[in-house]
Amino acid sequence: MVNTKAQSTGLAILGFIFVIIIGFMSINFLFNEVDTARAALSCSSPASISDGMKLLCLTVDAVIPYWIWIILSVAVGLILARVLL
Amino acid sequence: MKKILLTLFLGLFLFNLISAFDSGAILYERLNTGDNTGENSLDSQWLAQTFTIGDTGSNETFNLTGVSLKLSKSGSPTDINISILAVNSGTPNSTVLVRKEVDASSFSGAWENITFDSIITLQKGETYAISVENPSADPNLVNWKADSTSPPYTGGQGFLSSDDGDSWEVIGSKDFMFEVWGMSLEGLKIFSTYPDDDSEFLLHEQPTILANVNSIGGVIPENISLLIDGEIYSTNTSGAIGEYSFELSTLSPGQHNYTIQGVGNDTESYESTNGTLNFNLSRYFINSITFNSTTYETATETYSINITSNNSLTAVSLLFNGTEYSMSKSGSVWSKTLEIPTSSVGNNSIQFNLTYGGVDYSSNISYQYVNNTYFTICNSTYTNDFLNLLFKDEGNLSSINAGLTLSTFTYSLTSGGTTKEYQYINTTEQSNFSFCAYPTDRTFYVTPYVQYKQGTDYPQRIWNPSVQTYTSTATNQSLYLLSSVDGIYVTFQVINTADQLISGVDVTAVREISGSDVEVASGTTSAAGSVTFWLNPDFVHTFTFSKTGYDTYSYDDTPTQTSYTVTLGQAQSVQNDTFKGIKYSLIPTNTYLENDTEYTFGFNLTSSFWDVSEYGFDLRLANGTTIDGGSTGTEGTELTLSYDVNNQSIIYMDYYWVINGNYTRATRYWIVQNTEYEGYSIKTFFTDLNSYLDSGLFGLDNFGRILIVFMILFISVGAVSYKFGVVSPLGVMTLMFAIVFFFDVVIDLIPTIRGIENLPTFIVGLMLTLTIINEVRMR
Repeated sequence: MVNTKAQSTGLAILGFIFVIIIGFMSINFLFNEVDTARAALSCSSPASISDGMKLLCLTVDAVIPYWIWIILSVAVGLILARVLL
Repeated sequence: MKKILLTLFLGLFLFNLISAFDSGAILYERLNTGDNTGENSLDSQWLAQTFTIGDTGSNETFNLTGVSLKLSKSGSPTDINISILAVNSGTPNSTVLVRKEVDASSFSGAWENITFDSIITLQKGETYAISVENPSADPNLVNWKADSTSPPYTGGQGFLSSDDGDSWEVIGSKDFMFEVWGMSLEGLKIFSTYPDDDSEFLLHEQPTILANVNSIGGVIPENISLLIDGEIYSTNTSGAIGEYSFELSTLSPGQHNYTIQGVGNDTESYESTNGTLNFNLSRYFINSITFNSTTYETATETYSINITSNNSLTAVSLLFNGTEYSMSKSGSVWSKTLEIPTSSVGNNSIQFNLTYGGVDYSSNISYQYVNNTYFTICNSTYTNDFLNLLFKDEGNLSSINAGLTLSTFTYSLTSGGTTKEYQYINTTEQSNFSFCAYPTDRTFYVTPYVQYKQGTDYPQRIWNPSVQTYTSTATNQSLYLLSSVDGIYVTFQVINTADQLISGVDVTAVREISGSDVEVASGTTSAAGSVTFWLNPDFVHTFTFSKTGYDTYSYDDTPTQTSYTVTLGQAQSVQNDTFKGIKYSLIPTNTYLENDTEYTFGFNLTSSFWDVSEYGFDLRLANGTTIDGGSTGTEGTELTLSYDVNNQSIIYMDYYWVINGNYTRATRYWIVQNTEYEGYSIKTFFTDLNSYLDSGLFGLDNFGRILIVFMILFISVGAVSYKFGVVSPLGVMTLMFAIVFFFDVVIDLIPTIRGIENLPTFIVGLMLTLTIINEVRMR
């Protein structure tokens, strides 16, 4: 008889690995974009940019950490959804 | 009138800018070699030398700025006049074109540069005269050096006037030493200003060649080129007037020459007035090589070479008579200390091998002569005694004769170094034996072994002390023998705690004679564990038994028995702590390094206990590649190596020190962090946030920051309490501490309060501590 619980846990682990690999590979595409955005917004010169630009710079700064947070959330969520439910 | 004033102004301006012998001046006419005589000027006797423009210099009209004359004086002549005179039909006349009064007191036969106070123009192809006019009377003379042996100058000749220049006569075939300097009226004046002729440079410091370009007459430089070894290396077409610089970077080591050439918009080509200059590029400079030209076998010699180079010079080794020894580096000096082997007597080649950029280069070969070292019985050749062996009767202290049944002297000029051995046997009994040595100005380190006796009247004894030092100030060594009627044979048998016989135990017997302790017998136990001495049973002796691995045992006794058994205890195994007294430092001190950064790696060591003969370090990469870091024999020397960690992941430093020939090795490592992606972390977010807040984001000041943090704290604690039911004081305080710690310490968002760093964290931490104490106390 097929153990559906074990099957679903195995699938969850495969999903976890898949999301982690694809997610972290996709970060590479963001590095150049973040650099370009920061340069265009002059984020390194706070004295010469407006408050709105500064907020935008902070948003840009948070893109990659936030993306990592999303990847980990989705990946761990896949595991927990199978294990806890 | 305006034109004249302008000309005068320009003339004065040019004069102030460029003196007669500055870099822009050109040497036109000259006779400046071959002086072998001279002529005196005094009173009304003047001297003159005519010259024709275009004879030895460019045939062009130019502004005369000065002359150089080779003059000396005798007596005390006062000021003299140097003039440029007009010439008619090849003879000077009395028309003075320009004149300068010159102080003659310092004339010494060298070249004297005379700059005229006003500028005159000399026409191309015309003949003029330089005159020297000394108004002082005999014996205050001014002597103008001259060439009287077929002088090569064809543009003029030497003249003498005896009537203050009214009339002139040719002085045979004698021409005076002179140089005529001036500034051309038009064209480009190019002068190489750096480097000077025959300059030396290191390969990695290739010079920037500098030249000065002036324009006279409004000529504009269309291109200025640097020629290296006759080939155009670089061209500048800026058309600028002034300094030109040409950077070199691709030249190979060796001798090179350079010239600056230019083309003006007058289509004329110009060349630097100081011509082609030479310079040399070397991989390294050997500043000095130091070692003694003569030495002696078994002596310690230091060989050092002072080299200026860059990091491409990775190793230097000494080739002593073809045998290679690695050298240690301290600053720019590489050195090696050798004990001269006994097989090196004679001339030995000394050469240094330099590894530069992975390729070996050799220095010139020098030689060191190694002389023999001798320690021998004195004879007609060796007469300077170092050691006198005297024989005495132990019973009555009288001098007696004895013979040497065997004597062996192991000697060296270095303590603990390479040794030679001398054996001497002479059974003819005499009162003393003198031993001489060569060289006589050195200290000898000698380990004697002497067996001596007088027939059957005085049984044999052995003198075998540890290493002794002897110099040309002779050491008198009394050796005591005991009469056959005064002593007894005493046998010592040495065993261990398991009653096993111990061979090789050094046994000495010492007794006090005339107020000093004298070793009257010494020997080593045989395979049977025993040794026999001839001793006086009437006196107390101190017996000492020692062997490596056993406790040394010593006792005082009167040897009245013929045999004794001594038990030696096993010495506790004491590990020689080679770290004892060792203090060392390693740099860099931080554990983590950043990639693509050059760090200075260093190792320094001092010892207050051991005598450290050498210490050093190497760097090792993860793939096993070793980078030589250096070594030294001088404690306290900071050994350093600058190394760019590039993209290495880990750097190992293998460091060591040598004590009594034993190496103690250790390793330290540094993790190299890749900082490539550091700029994308959450740290950047908070760094920027702090930076923006500092710059006044939305007008927030320090109070605003604290208020925001308080709001976050208030809302977070409230939300957690509401959602998860955390209401205990300990839980709430812990949550508060965590949040305050994060904002205050981790991301440094809370400003410093009253100059006290992290004050909120300390206060909340104190509150948390009190809460914990309270919780514990209530239970």
